Amino acid sequence: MGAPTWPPTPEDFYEEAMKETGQSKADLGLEQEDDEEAERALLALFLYQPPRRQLTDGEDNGTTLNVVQKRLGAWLRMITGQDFTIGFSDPPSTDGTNLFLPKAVPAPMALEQDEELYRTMGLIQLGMARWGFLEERSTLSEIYRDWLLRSIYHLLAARWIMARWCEEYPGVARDFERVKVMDKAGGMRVNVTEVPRDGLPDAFLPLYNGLTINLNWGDPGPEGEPARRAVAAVDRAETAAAARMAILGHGQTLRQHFRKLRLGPPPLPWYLGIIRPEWILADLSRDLAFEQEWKKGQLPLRQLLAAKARNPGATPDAGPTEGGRKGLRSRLRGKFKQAMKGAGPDIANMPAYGDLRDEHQEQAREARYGAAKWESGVRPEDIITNQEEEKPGEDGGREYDEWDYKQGCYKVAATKVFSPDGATGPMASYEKITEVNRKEIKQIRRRFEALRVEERWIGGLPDGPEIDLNRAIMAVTDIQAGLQPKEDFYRRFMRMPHPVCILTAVDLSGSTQGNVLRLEQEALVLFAEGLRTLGLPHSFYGFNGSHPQECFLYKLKGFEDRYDENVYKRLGNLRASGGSRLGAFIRHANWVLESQPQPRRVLLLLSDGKPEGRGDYRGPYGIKDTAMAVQEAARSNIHVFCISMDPDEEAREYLAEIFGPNRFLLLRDVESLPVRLPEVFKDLVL
Amino acid sequence: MVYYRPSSNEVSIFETAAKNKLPVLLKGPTGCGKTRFVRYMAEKLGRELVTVACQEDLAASDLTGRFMLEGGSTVWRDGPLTSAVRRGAICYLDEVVEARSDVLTVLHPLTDDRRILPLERLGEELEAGDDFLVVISYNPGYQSVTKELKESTRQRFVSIPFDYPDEEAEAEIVASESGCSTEIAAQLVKLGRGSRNLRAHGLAEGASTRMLIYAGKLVVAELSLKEACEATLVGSLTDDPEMAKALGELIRSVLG
Repeated sequence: MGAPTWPPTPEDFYEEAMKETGQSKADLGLEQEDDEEAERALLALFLYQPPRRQLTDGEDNGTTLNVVQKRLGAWLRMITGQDFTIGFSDPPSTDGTNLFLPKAVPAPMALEQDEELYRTMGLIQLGMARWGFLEERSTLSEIYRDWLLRSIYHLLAARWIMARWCEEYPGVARDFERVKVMDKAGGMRVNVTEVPRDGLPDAFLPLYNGLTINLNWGDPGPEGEPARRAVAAVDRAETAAAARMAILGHGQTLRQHFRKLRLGPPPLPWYLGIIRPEWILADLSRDLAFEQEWKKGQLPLRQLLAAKARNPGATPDAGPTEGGRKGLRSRLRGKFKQAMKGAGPDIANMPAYGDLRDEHQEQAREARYGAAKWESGVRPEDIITNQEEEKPGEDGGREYDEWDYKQGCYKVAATKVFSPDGATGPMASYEKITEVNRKEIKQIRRRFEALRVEERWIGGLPDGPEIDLNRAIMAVTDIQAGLQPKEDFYRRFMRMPHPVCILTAVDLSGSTQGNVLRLEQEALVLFAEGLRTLGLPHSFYGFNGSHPQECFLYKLKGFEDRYDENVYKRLGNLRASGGSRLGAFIRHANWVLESQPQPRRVLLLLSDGKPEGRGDYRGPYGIKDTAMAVQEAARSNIHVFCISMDPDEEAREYLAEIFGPNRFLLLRDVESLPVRLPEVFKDLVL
Repeated sequence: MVYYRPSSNEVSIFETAAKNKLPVLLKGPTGCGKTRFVRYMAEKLGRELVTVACQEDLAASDLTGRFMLEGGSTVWRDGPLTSAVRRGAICYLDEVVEARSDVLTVLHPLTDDRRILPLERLGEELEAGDDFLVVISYNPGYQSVTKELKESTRQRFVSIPFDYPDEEAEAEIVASESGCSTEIAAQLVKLGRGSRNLRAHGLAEGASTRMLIYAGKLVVAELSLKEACEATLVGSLTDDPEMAKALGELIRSVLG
């Protein structure tokens, strides 16, 4: 095996794991049915990051995904109506929520053709999700174990999906027709291994009918009869459910037929992609605790050891010692790190979200509850605590109540927020971001410049170049009625600054560590560069906390601060840790905003997940407290808007509960954050 | 009679609100049929309709009225709201959030149990008759803080939410309003719905039903379907060349 790609693919990892343990698959008992979990554990160890297969260096590529990604994503959304993120994988694939496409298509470069190819690859993968081909857990388990069945299932499903798209969109049918004859689209693969296109067994040939015409086909003869029957049955299926049944039924028959002929899995044309049931199975079974276990790498190792213990045939002496086995993950990490030095994030030092110390799991202290108990029939938002105006304590922190939905009242002074200056670092971090994004910053500045001031005629002035006719008439009528007229009948074309101020607060909790933090930082810098042009009062804060009494809203740039070296250093060097007790941060940000004179005040939040912190600040508790904090802000005439990068499918529901409809943006394409943030701001306040 | 195809219980809600002299708030995206609905209801109830398209310079005095100079003297001229109160009409303020804040303030005494319109300049207080009704509309999809309807205003109204009709109903509306064939209407609706999938993903708004009707009208006027779609759906929805190209591809995919 060559140097592993980053992040390691399941196949790479599997190979490495086998080598590392010094055992074969059989030794570990992984071929036994009851050890499916253990095998999946190994394969899925790094699946939370999709593989980013790169075309090898020096290879001549066709069009790259980044050239077409924006319009491709827009087109796929319009056609499918599905919400998805585009990631990288070669061959193309999907986990049911995200669409993974190759970073580049093979040479030669031909933009129009390559775009057709990308469109087709996207539609096939999204079709798999749309028509439920990746939904049935039992089906996925079955095709997961059996590559032969997986290939048959994939070929027949793709055939049905393509027919449906063609029925629905005549223009898509034309794309498909062209892709079928493209040389670069029809390279054959079993899993990721290329196989020759010529000389395929006759028994397979009918499966490719209508999918690719790059083969030197002969007459399949009687050996091809089962495949021909399977294709005909799939073509007859009118609904997705019928198609799935036909595919599974005929798939089993075909599988037996191919086995009898001692054939391996039929290869797939490259553009059809690959089904990775392990991605979806892993996704279906995860919950927060499970996910953390995965990330920490404990569960796969435990399952692997359990699998070995269950297999009495395995020879203990053949493998490494117990201590050696325990160190498997760390040694593998080291190996990958060494191979990929400088090419990827430092996963060994990357803290998992919510990696809490046990002593912090307990409640901060016995909570006191506000007297305003929520009685039946009273809306929680109507309840105002009898808390006195919060005052900074001696330690500089401000105490805030927290809404306890279970008790129906506020917990008095349950949280304390400190607002120190954000950490600084080298100036070069900020400069690097501005240097890399010079073009984007120029565009943002140009757009903001155009919106810098509101230009309009202002009437009712005591002096000006023109008469305000309405006021003049009123003055005349007043004179005629014997009244003293007002001398405000002039008007002037004026440039008025927008009466808005904005506080942008970014989530610096541990979960943002890595890509999200990098994007937040880049977005803040680009946004700051734009806001400087606009000259509108603004501030930047970052939030995280390790304890209810130790919540931090770090000042990166206050309303009163000018852009100086310290501000640049803070904006360019964000650091993440702890949790996000969002309700407390919103309350403190409200307090900061309330001191601003502008009539319109906006709190813009950037976050990557649910409000979760120490103790019971999780699930509905965190959501309902944050929702209450947003309502408190609304009462103070502060408009709260959130840009969320939560990959959770149910994020839309809790975001709507907290912020209300149209008060949040769920950003699936997180890479677009730096560009989208200024756009959101523009829509929000201008 | 104005063509309107009910999509839910909006007609009965409006009738009941009007019968009980309760002001009505219509909320929904651009071009989904709010204005058409008010016209339809006014005809159905046999009431006069006074429509005011609100914009940022619309002030309370533009609605209530003002003194004008005529010859050597001054004459009071009613604004549209005052005249609707006097005549017992439905006063429809379209996109009310665009107007200045004093417009909403002047509506307050008309939208509670007092149902009066104070005219300070005349020193008069007009009492609204039984047939007078205030109807306002806005698009809650706008995220701008400058285009929000205050809670205190919103709570004075009976609210009727609007959205784009379902596929079949929308095709029927487009065919009926533009005069194009049902097949073309179905293709236009498919395009419209596709573009709405891009809302908040690059487009501020998707194609409205009204826009689809325009496209249908252009087809009836013998423009090719592709040209009609490009003229209405692409240019009017975006200035971003990448989005325009994606919309162009959508048209090609749908039309073949």
